[in-house]
Amino acid sequence: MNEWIAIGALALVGILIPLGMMSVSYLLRPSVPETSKRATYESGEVPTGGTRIRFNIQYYMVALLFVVFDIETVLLFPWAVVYRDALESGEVTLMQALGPMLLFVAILVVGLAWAWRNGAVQWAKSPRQVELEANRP
Amino acid sequence: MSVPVDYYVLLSMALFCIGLFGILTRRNALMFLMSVEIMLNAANVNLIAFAFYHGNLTGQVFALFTMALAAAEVAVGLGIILVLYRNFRDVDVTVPSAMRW
Amino acid sequence: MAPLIELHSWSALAPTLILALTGLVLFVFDSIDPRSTNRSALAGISTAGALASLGVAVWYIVAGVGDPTRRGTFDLFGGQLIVDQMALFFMVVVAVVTAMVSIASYDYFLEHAYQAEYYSLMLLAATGMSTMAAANSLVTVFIALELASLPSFALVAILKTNRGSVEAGLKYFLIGALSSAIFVYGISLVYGATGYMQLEAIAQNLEGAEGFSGLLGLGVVMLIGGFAYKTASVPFHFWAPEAYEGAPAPISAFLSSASKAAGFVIAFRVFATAFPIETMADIGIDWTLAFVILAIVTMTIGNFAAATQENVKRMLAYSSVGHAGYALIGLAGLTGTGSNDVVLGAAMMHLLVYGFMNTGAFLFIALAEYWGVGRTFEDYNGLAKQAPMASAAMTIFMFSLAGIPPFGGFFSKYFLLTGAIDAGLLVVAVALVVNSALSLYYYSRLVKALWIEEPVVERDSLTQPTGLYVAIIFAAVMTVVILPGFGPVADTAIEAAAAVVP
Repeated sequence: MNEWIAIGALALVGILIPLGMMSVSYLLRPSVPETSKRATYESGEVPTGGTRIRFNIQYYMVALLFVVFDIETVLLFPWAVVYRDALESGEVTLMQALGPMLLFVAILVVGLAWAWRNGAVQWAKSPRQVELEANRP
Repeated sequence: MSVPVDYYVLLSMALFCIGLFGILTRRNALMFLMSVEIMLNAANVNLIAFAFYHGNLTGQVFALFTMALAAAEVAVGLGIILVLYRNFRDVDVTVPSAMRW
Repeated sequence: MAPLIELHSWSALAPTLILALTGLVLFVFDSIDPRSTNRSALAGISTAGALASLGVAVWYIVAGVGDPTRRGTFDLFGGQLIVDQMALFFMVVVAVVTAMVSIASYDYFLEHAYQAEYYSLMLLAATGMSTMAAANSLVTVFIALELASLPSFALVAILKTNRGSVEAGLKYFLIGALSSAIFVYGISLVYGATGYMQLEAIAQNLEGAEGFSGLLGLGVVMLIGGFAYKTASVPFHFWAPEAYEGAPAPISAFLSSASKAAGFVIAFRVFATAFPIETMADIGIDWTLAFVILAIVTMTIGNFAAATQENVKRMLAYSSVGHAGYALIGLAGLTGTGSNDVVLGAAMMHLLVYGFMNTGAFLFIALAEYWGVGRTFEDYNGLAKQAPMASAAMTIFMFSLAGIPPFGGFFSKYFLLTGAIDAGLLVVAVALVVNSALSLYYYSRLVKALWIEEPVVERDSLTQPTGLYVAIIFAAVMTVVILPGFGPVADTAIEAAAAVVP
């Protein structure tokens, strides 16, 4: 017997079960239409305004920094795979194995320091902070 | 049992064509960016499948580089789309057309 | 000759590493003092870095690094990067253009808010271009190409409130992202057919790729697409006029000279090293034919479009597309029938001379934008009376771009012509001559506007910004001086080309 038949059967069952549950619940449930059921869910609060609001730009800045620095860890990965083997083989010194990665991280730190100093991770000021800064001599 | 390399190439070509179709039809800059990402990932599928096929790791490591570069490209691209929105109040790529040939 | 100092193999990359280090120094400078608009310090650091890189690269060439008979080529990281004469030649082009552009930017970005960002992005892009010159594997080619492209996107759009600049940045980015996706897919197909990324290893494994000739052919076509984007040639040329027109003029100069040269060096290296023409012809993929067609179409489209422009910057942008067509002859002529090294060397010489004359021409546009005289040919009328020195320099650039005998542009074109005839490409040679004749029309039109026409409106007297003047005069002097110095330059270029072509 072909192995693919088992996979096909599994897929079929996987589709039928949720469909069956949904149709059974559709047949059994009472129908009580009410406006508050259709309202936007805001953790039990009374919703204010629509869902399509503009987010603070700061979310974007943080997310962007996260994406870039998160993906950089991918480049650590091949290095980490060979690191132990390289040291145990005795062909390279600790500095030769570790140095390039330290240099890489140092370059990233320069980038992070620059972003920090230029206010990329500074959250937008609250009105109170703005007021305090304005009052400062 | 392993899947022959042909199927991976077919998969990646399908992804590549989906991405290309998206680029040619979408006018939203963000959709355009997503389509490019699909095309880059199509190349990644190829690289990893061929790395397995040839039995060397070059392709896998290069796929990691491609991912990192794709992220960097998105970061720059989103920045440009942001200034685009500030200047034109729209992310439709056909709106800025002051320069024509 | 005994080597003066024993170099560690890493230090062969010094021209590139100096550029990268300068970029990082600028970042540190900006981190210490984020609001700084100390233009002299920032422009000074970046110019010093570019000049140091230039000095080291020239010193290496003179000292014989990369010359097989003297100090030999340097293979780094298992052949991923290679420092030979061709790499050093293009490192010189990139460094000298970077130096000129950063001096000129001192005046151009007088009231710009993002000074440090501008210079550090430019140095990082230059690092990428310099790495492209040394890249010897499809992996490093792609990484270097992206390192050059990503800062360039931001640089084109750096005037954040200027709609033209943002539009140019968007278009440049969209085409760039598309072509890099195509390029990396092409790389994956070539890797699939041969199993290697390193260029020599690809060449050795081409025979084994017989069964995959379809994949390989598609991959090669996609690689050509990627190179066409980076060098602004057909079929990915249409970003060039938009990006060059909308971008700040120094950035247009930077992209159209350094970025184009870097795009050509990877094309030269990849096709000459990884896909030797005899082997590829056996498999049934004759890529020189593709480049013959692309060269003719690119130079014709570029020059004809340039001839119809009213906007000077856009005219130069299209002329830059035309010059990409001339340089493509270097690849089209590698048929194996003629002298391969002469035609490839001629393309390299042309890119070097182009680095001076085209950068200079765009910097003159920067000067005009600095004065605020306007953008069309008419607006340039009579500028020679008020600024004779800059106008004389611009005249030199124009005639050199057209290929008039006493200037550098003539010699490189002459070499290209003889190379094309040698390789039996009479059609290309004819196209080159016809297009050069056409280009003389629109270049001399600008010269006529500068010297002969009367100004349409009265202008106030024009200032003489030091940085821009220094860069323009330097470029003009080099365009002329390169003529007596052409012997050694030509020897270096042909020798470097001979080392790359099989």
